[in-house]
Amino acid sequence: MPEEEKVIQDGQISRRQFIKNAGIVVGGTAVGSTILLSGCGNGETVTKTITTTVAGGTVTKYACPYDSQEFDTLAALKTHLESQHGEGGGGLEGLITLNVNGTNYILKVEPQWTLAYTLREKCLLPGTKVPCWRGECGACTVIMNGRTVYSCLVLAIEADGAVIRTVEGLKVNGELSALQRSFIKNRGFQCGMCTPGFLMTGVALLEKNPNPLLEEVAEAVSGHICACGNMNRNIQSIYEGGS
Amino acid sequence: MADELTVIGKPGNIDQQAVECVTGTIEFPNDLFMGQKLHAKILGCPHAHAKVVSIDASKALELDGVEAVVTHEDVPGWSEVKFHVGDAVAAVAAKDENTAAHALTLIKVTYETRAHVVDPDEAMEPGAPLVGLFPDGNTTLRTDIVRGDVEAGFAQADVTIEDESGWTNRWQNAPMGGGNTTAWWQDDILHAWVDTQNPHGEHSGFAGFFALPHNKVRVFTHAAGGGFGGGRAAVQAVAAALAKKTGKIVSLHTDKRDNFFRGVTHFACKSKIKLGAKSDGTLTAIDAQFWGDGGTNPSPPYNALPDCLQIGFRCPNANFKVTGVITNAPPSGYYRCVQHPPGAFLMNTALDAMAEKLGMDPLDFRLKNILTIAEPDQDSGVAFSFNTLRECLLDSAAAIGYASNKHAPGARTLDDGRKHGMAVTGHLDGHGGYGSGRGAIITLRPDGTCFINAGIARSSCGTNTAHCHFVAETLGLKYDDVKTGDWGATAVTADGGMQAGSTNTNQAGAAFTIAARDAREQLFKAAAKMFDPQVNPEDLDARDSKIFLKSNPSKSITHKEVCARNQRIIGRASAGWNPVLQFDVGPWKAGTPANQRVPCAAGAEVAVDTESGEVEVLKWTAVTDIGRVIYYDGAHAQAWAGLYHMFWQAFFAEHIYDRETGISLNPNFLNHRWPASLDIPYDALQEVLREGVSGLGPYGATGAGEPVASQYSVIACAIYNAIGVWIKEPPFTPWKILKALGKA
Repeated sequence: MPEEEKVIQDGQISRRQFIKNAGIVVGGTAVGSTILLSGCGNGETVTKTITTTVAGGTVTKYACPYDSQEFDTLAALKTHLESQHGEGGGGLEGLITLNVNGTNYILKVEPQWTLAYTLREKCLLPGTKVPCWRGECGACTVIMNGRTVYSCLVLAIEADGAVIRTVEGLKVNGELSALQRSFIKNRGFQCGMCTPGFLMTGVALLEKNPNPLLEEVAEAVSGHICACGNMNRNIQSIYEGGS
Repeated sequence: MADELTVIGKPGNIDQQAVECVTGTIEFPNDLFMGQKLHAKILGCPHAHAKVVSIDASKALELDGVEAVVTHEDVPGWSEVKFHVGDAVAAVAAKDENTAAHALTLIKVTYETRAHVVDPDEAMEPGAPLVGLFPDGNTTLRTDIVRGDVEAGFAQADVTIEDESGWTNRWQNAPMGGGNTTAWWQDDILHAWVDTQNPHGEHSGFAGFFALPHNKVRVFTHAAGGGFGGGRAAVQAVAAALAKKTGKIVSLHTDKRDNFFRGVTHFACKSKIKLGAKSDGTLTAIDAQFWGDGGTNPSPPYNALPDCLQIGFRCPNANFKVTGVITNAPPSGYYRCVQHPPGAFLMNTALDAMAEKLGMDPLDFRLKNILTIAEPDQDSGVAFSFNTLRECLLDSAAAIGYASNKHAPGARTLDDGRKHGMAVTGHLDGHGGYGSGRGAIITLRPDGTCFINAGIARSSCGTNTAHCHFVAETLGLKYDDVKTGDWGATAVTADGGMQAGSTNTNQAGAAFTIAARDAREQLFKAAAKMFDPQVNPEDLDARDSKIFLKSNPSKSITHKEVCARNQRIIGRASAGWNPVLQFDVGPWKAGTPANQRVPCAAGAEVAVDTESGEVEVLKWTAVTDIGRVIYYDGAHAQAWAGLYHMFWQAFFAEHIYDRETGISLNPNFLNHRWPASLDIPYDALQEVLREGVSGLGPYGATGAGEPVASQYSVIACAIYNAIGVWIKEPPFTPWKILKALGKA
């Protein structure tokens, strides 16, 4: 039986086998550290992590997934990919970069892939749920470049270069955030499927408006459905979640 | 007793899966094997009734990334005849969901179309096209109850009324999850991850579908993702068939559009109810006929449609008849309270019509005719364990200020020109009944903490958290010392039964309580020997994770100390369904035949704008006597959610089919929508959970899920009280109100 796939990322830490050996740096001032190339949907993945700790902080380098050469910037890696792997390797075609919860991903994507699909199946972050698959329920909401989006309505290629935040990135130093704690205290969940979307909209609202009125919370979450019928508690959770 | 409880009913105990829910790590079937699995999509039939002549999947199989196509020849349970639009014809497994969806468009199917009928009235006419599930005709008699002599009853009556309804609203359960499956074959052993309300039922289903011995099936259910009754038959053999064909892990994601075409739909029904009463309001005769549209479900759950009227109201002469109709529409099924939401609507319109003809206040008329606790069930003769319907009705009336504000229909206009209306309705709900019919296993760890394990899914309101309450209370452990262990994994758990019928808390809870009593017996036996001098196990009690002498509570030993030396304590319960009380509860003795119903009532106050047809809910209080609140936060969340669901049923819920073609016209959350955050009258909605008299479940519990969601009819009655015109076909949309007023 294949090992149950589960990604748990506490800050920069992932427990997946292929990342386990990467010696990821925690702490310091490093932001992005993992580079991951996902082959064309066949589960073939190659990863290189080259963040190293040096005196006074960390240095992140970017590794070519084909020949392991290291580069100081993503742009330099892209130039290398285009010049050295343009034919056999596919070069830059379909190659996107995403920064998800502070981790850089270089992904080879197909044009029909949605951001939701890519986050779930390629970045291995299944916290983003996709009940309706067509922009009706709001459960798949993530924060993209500071704005909430339905990730089932954004194509992965549209998200190239974007900074994405998902429910997996909400913990602060490995601890539940104030908003998550408020959702627990107020029982702001029932079945748990719409909850990640409510949380992400809550984060986006509270960052702009740390002390919203209940009415402002209700308006902010008006694009979300909670079929279980927990809307009052979901709203209260965000209302009290700012501190 | 209540004062002695240390865990049960205490606010603030946290749901067992709270952290998983707020971190997105709670496992739904599609959240597993990320990056490794194939994705499945289903092709639906475009016709309401057709036979598949041929299927050419060659173009689909040529598409890059497509791995397999299956049809009725591969999938157990699929027929070559399709009975409704959306009926599954073929399914594709591909590298991603979009590729699978693309491949569906490349499958060429040749159909031989057949005559169909979607309108239930048409389906009942002589010579109507046959739906195809019965050899002749489209109807079946589902219920025929005769009590006393109805003709004599009407002869005694001073006043009679005849009330005829239109068809009530069909609606789609449409939970956020539901119908998702991930399947994988380890050689000849099927592993299936399913979001279901019935893990062991699915286990049996898979074994039957693939002719497997039961020990070659493993079902895993963690989170059900909602369900509301629709998830009790979610089994999807198709993912397993595709997994078998490809030799890979296959995940079927039932998106909401799929759900609307193939998921469980709440049935439509109508009635013709004749009532007879003495001039003082005493009911003398009921002749009630009901019809239910089951779609392509030949035995849908509307056989108890008369239940609200049949059980709660005293009448010596009564006939109740239910005729089932089948149509070429998706199969109907369960939704929070099978028949009570529409059954209560049909009953309450008739009761109000009678009250008006008698010149009585509708609430007084109800109070005159409801059964008291002294009266047994009129048809079975079995006494009710408790009946506080009167109290629930009066509490509902008090909550909306009924006594001082009530008025005749159409008699009060508000200052802003809108019409004011109010009503109180209620019934003895048939759900939440008692029966010990569940298995449970609890294991004590060497440090005195405890796991509970059962073959049940996590339901939305956290019933497995309620089960932890029972175990903690019974074992005298702190709440935090009891955790859910394995649940919903059928190979390692006892059958927890079906999480339906509002029985999860009280019936599975009974099994957990029995298992905890078993463990407590072992624990006290071991603990007794550790006291110095030794004591008898009967001398002991436990609380706050300490076992102490009843006669001298200061002499105590911790669970941890006992378990450290006795590491094999396992409590078990396993029994067939048994409607007889298994242990003493409150005033009830073990062995009592259980006839438990859950009294529920609601009061509502509305303002109706007769120019726009809009209805504003000013107050809506639902009062339900659930015996004992077990998991406080979960029970209240579920009760408020019941109000939300009733609000939805009254004003929104309507799944519309084109009567000519049988095609769903609103198969999505935008047009068949749930009330969103800005639609809900938060200040008006108030849930009240009574704990008046002990129920028969452990610690006096009953069930809550369905009784708290069965009173949307109170809105129909309040609208009538406002405008003096009945809206006979819910939901109560502005257009229907204007139409009833002759303005549209």
